[in-house]
Amino acid sequence: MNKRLMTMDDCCGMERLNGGDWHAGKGLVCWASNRTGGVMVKRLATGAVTRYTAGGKGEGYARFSPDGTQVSFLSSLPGKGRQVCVADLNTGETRVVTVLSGAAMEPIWHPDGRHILFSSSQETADRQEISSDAPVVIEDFHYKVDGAGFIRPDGHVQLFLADLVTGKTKQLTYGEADWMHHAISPDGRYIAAAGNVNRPKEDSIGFDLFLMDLQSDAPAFRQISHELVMVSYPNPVRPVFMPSGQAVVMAVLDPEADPSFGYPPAALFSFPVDGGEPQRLFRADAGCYQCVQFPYNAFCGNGLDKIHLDPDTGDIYFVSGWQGQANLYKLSPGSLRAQPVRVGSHVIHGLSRIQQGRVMIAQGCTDRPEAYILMELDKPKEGETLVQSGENIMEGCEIAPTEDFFFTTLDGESRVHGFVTHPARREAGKKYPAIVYIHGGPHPFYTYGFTAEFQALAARGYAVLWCNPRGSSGYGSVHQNFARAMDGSAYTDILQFVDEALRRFAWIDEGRLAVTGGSYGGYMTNWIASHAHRFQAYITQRSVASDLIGYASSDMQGSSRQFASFEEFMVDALRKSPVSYAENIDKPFLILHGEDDLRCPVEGAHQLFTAVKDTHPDLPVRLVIFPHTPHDQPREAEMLKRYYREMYDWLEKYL
Amino acid sequence: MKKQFTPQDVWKFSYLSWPALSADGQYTAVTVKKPDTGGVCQPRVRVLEARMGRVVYESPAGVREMQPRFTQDGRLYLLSDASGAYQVWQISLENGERIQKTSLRHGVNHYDARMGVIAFEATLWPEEIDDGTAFHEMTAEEKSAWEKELDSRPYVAEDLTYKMDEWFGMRKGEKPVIGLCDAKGQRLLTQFKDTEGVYPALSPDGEALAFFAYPHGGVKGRTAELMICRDDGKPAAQLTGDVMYTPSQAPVFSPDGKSVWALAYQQYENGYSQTAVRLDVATGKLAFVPDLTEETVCEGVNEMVAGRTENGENQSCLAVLANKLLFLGGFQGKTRLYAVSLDTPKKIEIYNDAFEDITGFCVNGRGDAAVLAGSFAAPADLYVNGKQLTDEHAWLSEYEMPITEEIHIPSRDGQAELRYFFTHPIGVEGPAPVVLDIKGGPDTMYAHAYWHEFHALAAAGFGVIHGNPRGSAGFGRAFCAGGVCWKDEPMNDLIDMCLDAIQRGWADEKRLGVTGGSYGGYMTLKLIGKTKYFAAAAGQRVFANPGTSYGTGDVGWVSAEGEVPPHFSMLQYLTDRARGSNVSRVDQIDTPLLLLHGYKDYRCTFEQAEQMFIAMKERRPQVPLRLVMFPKENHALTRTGNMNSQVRHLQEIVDWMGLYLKGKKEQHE
Repeated sequence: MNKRLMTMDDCCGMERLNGGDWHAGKGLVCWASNRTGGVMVKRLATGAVTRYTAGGKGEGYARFSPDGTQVSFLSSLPGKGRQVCVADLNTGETRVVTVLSGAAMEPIWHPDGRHILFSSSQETADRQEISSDAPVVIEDFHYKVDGAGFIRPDGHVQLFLADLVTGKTKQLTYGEADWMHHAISPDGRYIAAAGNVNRPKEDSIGFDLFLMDLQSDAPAFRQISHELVMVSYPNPVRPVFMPSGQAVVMAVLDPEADPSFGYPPAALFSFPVDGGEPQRLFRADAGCYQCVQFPYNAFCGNGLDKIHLDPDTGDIYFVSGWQGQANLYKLSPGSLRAQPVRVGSHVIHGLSRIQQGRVMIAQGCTDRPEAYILMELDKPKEGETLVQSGENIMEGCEIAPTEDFFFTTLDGESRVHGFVTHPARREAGKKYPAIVYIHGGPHPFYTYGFTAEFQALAARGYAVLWCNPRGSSGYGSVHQNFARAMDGSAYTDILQFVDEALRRFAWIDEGRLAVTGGSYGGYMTNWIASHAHRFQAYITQRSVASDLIGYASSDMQGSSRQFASFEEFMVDALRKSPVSYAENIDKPFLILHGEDDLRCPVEGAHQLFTAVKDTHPDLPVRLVIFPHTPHDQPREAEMLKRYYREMYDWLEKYL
Repeated sequence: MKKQFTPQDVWKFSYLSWPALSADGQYTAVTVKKPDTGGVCQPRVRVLEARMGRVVYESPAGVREMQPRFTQDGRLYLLSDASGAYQVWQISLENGERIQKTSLRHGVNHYDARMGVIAFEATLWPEEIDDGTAFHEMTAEEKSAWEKELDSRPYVAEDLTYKMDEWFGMRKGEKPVIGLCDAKGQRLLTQFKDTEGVYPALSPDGEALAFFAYPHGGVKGRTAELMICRDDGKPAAQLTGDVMYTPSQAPVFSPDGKSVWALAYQQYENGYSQTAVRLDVATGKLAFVPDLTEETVCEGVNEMVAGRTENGENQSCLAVLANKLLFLGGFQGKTRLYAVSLDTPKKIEIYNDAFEDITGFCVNGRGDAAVLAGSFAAPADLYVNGKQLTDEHAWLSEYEMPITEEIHIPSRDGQAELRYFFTHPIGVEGPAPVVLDIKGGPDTMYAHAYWHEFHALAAAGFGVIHGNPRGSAGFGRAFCAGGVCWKDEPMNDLIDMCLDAIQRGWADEKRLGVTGGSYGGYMTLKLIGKTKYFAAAAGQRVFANPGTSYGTGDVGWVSAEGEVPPHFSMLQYLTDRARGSNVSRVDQIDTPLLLLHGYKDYRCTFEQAEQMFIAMKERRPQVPLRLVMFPKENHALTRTGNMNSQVRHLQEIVDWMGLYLKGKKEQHE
């Protein structure tokens, strides 16, 4: 079969699914894709597909109404912002339901089919129009958020209920707090949601679970969790009501995890609606380590949920990551053991409502971009593909194969999972340059997911070497210990991984190795560049260069409290910062950063560039800053192409 | 009943700059800037009869014009944006005829005109220089599309000197280049078309051209050299040498065209001063460096006045007549026009004693002088041969004006004589709440000039101390030698000024506030970190942590001092910078602190304010703290920033001082 090599255009124009749903009763599936725009609805019986749009951009998060006659979705409308829209499948008419000033998020249907519950950042009604030139007053922590910019004092995320009959939207929450990750009980009476109203301001990711009785005269949210922290960042989970409506199932940060190990794994708890003692639903073990996962490289499950209940059996279905996989598990009522349902070298990162013994899951793997698959609960090894993203890539392009292996760390503490993606059309007897690509976090993990960027590099004749060093989640608590990501262990793991790859694959040219990575991956690129001497070129992306700059200028502001004096803190922060070793960086060094990066501040890139160039006047050092780009690669296709062009040119020139 | 001046009244000012004088002394021209409703200062040109002051030309409505020049043959030139971007235009004063001379794609930044030849400095992108679109003005639609495309282009840097506060950060490949426009048409200099060049000057016969260029790369990327060449760009001589030029104004040719003069820094035993350098056009040799810094009358060519209400470029600090050199110099609080004979140099005379604060001037071959001069009472107006021709600030007479006195005190170590100004609060008897207002620089000078910030504070009932501590310019080289500005002397000097005001019964020691910008912001933080004198502090565009300012701001490189030593440790370097910094003293700060900062500040970057803010919020949560960020402003916020920002910035300071020195917010209409 004469397939072509994948190009940068393919990579930048990669099709991305933006949520979808399935209605068993009506035999319909819907999805949104950046390739087609709008929301597509397919009648399964006939295969007929209809497209609905409100005329806006980035349409997605499509959900069928309970009776399957309508589909709700989000649309970014010019001049109006991101609003909730509804398409009537009978009449074909699409209308915009909300007119709020903030962006709407996560719209879900009330069982009555008349109301839609969603969250939105809302500014108070009496606020004057403020231009982007207006001065910003800052008097407390958490005044800026990467991707959003500087938060105006009253720019919090609130919950709203839209009434499709009256056309009016009612605001349910107010005040100096954020509310999200909402769910509605099967009888439509209760709303469960996560809120941070009782959390301190500097605790930017702490949420509690609340319940609101819509039938009460003055409905207000009542806290039903205590001390446990609801899982939000980095992987939001929406709660689910038990069929009886007596309890809410939600993922929380495991209270028994050792906090010194860093971000705790997610545990499933049920919360009685009367505020009684929450119950842990399963014990983490080798079979199922945690609920949900933090995959780094799989574009999968966007707009879908992580937990659902089978209304017929009461079984709880959820996704869980382990050793590069993300699988489907189930918990039966009364059992404390999670049972694997669909397990393999793949990534399952989202599921729809469970209906009539079937569920639609979002799944991908290294050779196959995300697909929505309809699966029978009792035939989990099979499945019918309803929607396949990136068909043009799969059918037209060479997909370079990936091999993986494990090795024991030098100190014997753990095992590292490493992956090697071959260069496309690899010829026997030839040696190939390789890119060591380090993931960010350090908490997420590389998965068996389809990574367009790696395939594009492979198409250009590079091998890609990628691994989950210590600090990565998905391999147990010892492996994910945050301290190991920063104390040199992860650094050693990566170097050892390179050795292992060279040993196993004689066709990798050890004289032509480059290192790259973003965020923590950029931090590690900076650290390797200033401490190791076996690589020939570096590309550091949205990196951490100075902990001292990040302490004050990152939206995840740091802490100096454990130091008696601020000076001691500064000395310690500088000691841990890669920029402090810039005099040792002596290979061509490319720095890529977004101008609006508020997570790893762009000031760090400026200091890093200056430090390397100042100490090495003749070394090729290049700084490229992308406008309107937050802590990410650029999202706009043309700018993303420029970004990759910078990377490819650098590799071609110096590798 | 007179009005009280408030920050809102700052909108009323008009700003004069760039005075010009015709060769026959008949006409004078000046640029007048006023803020539009959007807060942007828009320039217009006004031409007046030099003797009687009758206005004979004003820029048409809706058109912005600046940099007027009269040529020897009596023509008037100026920059006008009538066609879209600023171009060189020729205006006839007799019949009002307007002729557009240039058509640069992005307009002209500076120009000179002599004998029908125009030399211009224009900003262009490399592709425009190559593809010939350099001289095609854009239509409004083209401009809109081009701006949109440019907006999405990334910034690229491969050299150390890649960003500047004056550019609001990084450029996108554009640079100013030099070209000519004459009977043969418009063209860029062949040999310099890819070279960044600024401030062109033409010799009187129009045959030779001098300008500043930046030929070096690396850490010397912003080190300017003086270039001289003939029409086609072939250098007659490239005048480089061990001279630190100040490329902030055009070089000046002597009337006979044989010499060219430029501002430069001269190193002396006990420090450095800015003087003028004369170079021979034919040979490029440094012909004569007059010692302009004899230090009892003047300290060289110095336009570094801080705290003056002004906006707009001036043509030059230097004028060369047949046998005389005229120059502006600040000395001991006054800015004068000085003259030194080129025949018998050494004796420097004050050219015109009538004025205490001269901001700009222009002289012609006959010896007529157009001068922009101000005082404590008002910003500059235009005078020709001593006669006032404009009256831009008459409206100030409706307002209560404060009284300012000059005080001399010895420094506590007896090494220096210090001078400070005290502006008395209006309508308040001492001891009054007083604000110590520390200037930036630090090698600048507070002068006998009007500064609306002092007026607003005085009208709000605060006395203001504005002094010249050690490190300031204008008091002799020894006053700033040895990097004294970073030691304890200036801080002690400022404290002593406050103690003196307290001792005189002017200042209430329990109600002292402190404010300052840039170096003044650094000093504000230093004072509240090391002393307990102050009850309120407002740090403007502060310098708080050298450990994070390295590489984020646009100044200061290790390799600027010479080759980086072989065992250089960046860790040691950054740690040494962080130790003993203002932010390291955060645990000692009790003073309510207001921080004001522009987000586009590339001199002291916004992260400097964040360092201070987060450290204070985390470790001193009980101390009142407020940070106001101005999204579009750079380090020049209070001088050339949008008027909305300037007024808000000043209001924040007045309100903060009101809250913590008087226990209430000032009431304003």
